[in-house]
Amino acid sequence: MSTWLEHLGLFARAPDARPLSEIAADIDAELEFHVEESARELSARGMSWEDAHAEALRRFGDYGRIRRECARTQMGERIVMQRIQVVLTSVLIVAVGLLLWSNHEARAAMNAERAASTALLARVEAQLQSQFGGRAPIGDEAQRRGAPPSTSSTPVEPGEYVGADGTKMSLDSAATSWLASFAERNESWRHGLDVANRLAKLPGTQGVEILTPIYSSLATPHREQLFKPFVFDGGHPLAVEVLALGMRDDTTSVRERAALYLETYAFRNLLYGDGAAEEWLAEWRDRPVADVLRANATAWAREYGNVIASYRQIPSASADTWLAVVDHVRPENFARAGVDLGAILREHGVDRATDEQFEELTPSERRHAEIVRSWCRSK
Amino acid sequence: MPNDDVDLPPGALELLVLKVLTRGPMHGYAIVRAIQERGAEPLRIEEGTLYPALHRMERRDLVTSEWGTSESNRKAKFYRLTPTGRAALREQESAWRRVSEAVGRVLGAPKTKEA
Repeated sequence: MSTWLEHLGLFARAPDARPLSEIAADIDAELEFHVEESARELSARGMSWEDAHAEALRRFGDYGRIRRECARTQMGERIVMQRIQVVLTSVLIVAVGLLLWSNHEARAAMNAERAASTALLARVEAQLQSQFGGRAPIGDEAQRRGAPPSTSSTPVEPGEYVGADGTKMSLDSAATSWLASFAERNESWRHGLDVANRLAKLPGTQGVEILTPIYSSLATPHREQLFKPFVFDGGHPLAVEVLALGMRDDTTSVRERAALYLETYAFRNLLYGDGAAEEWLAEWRDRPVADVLRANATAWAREYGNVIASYRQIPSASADTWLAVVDHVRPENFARAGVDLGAILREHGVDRATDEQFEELTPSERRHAEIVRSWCRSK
Repeated sequence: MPNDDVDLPPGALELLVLKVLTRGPMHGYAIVRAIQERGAEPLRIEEGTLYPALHRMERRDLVTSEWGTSESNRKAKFYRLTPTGRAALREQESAWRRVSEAVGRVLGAPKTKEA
């Protein structure tokens, strides 16, 4: 242990800063002095100088080996330090090299990603061309379905669309710019929601027209979030169009969210049941939103009346599952579409049936029933 | 002719150097002579081995060195004991004596030649 510590101490000392040639000269001078003094003493005892010198060298030992040992002791740490310097310099050179290489690789990856994005955008443009080349864009279709006139402060001429940067451009250029805007932070659902919020606020039905061709190219966190601005706050005139994209999504989490929001319009969850979603969408996707809301609310009110009237004959779990849709229906969407939800419910005796059976309901069902009562009271 | 000289045990040279340097600064040749004068004749010392040992001791701060002039008016390198060297001498001397006594007890009294 002490030897080890001593070695540490040896290396902790500052190396001899003198030139190596000077250190070697000192060693030679010291060793030669010894041999000379020894030979002088032997000579003084009567030996010839040659014999005395030879005897002095014999007593001294292996002069070359001892000289090397002295040099190693004196210069060893210098040599070690130099070797450490060489190693550190080599490591530094390798590190800098790796840094430059990784930088180069990152640039190459970025260029590749840029090229891939360009190719993707080119495909989107081609899709846009093929979709809208010979027929009217969705906007015209939306107007036919009762979409309100644009309230945007950005006046746009027919055929003009607002890009992600706010400037006017063609539909394919706008789609390209919005796709790029989404792609700025693919991993952030908040970013996706922010972009979707801006997209949904575009004049008229532009948001849906732009979203449709780029939807499948968006990141999953963005696809999960983008339905909200089209469904919340009264809903977009083409909300069902947007939700239809989600119901056909390959990703389960996206389909689940789309189905949840679609309950506002369908008054039931369409995710479960073979072909239920496709059947419903085939019937209602192209219809004006007011028609969708009125017809589906009427169907539910009619069925609710039957369910609530024969409550005692229906297993509790079944009734509760059926009533749970109430949690996801948004009355404000009816108001915005000009549909009187309360009148529909009252017309089908929902208010009367609910009051009659209220005491029979489970706590969970009563909570839902209270919501229905509030709808019935609304004008 | 039988050779009665024995090799110096490991570590002994350093101890001897430290001991003779208590008399004052000395160059290497004087250190060797001082060791031999103090009764180390039976020990076979290759004189040159003193120098790597001195240089190692200097690196460990047991001794310091400086160039001076010898009795023969020649340039020589003189070694001087440091406080660290004095402390090391005390420790090593004590340890050596304990080892020597212990070994001596095990070996017992030297045998006398029978007539």
